[in-house]
Amino acid sequence: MLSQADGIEFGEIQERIQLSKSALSKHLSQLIDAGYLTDTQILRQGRSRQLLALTPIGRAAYLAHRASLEALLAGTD
Amino acid sequence: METQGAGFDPTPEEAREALALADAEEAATINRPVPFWYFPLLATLLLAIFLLNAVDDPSGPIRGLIIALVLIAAISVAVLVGRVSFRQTGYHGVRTSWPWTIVSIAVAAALAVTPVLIAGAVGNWIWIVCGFVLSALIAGCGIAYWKRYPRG
Repeated sequence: MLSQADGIEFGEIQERIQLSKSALSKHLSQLIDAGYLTDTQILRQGRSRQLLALTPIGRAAYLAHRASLEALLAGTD
Repeated sequence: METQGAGFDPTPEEAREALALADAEEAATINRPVPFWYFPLLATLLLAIFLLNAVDDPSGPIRGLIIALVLIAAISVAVLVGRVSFRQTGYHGVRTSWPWTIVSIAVAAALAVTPVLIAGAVGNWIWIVCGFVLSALIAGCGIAYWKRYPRG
């Protein structure tokens, strides 16, 4: 989902994938530690929010993963 | 898009499912939900503009009233589209689906420009026809969009 936006807030991601706050935080922390995501505190409508975004490395990893899946399918067609 | 884990290649079925899920998630990011009343209201306002333009040779106070109503409807369309399209949400810098956007603009422009160009030659009925076609397209496509990307 992050590949089609500059960033998505934590609450929206949680609503989309229906994970608990702690479970989602754990997954996101792993992706941040791997260098795939950035985590920025922003202010929107008077409230502090956590904005997640793909890093260039994360975007490249996602696109490479998609390409490998597509290549796998192309090889079997 | 998770697979079995490190060292395991996904099966073709797993790959297909993973790609389908990725496509669905990307589409759900691009196509954000809108209120259920947005497209029907937009269609109604645009239809009103076209029907007002179809009034045959208005004069005096009727002409002034029609002009005022057209302006009110046009401003309402602009405000409505602006508020829904540019409202602040938890999504920042969402990509635009340019093929659909360009097609939509081209169709709307064609239906808007056609009566302007030919109403004088064929009659004001062309305003009514184009108005109903455009509003039906907006309402129909909009309802389909809302069903596919419902408000969470």
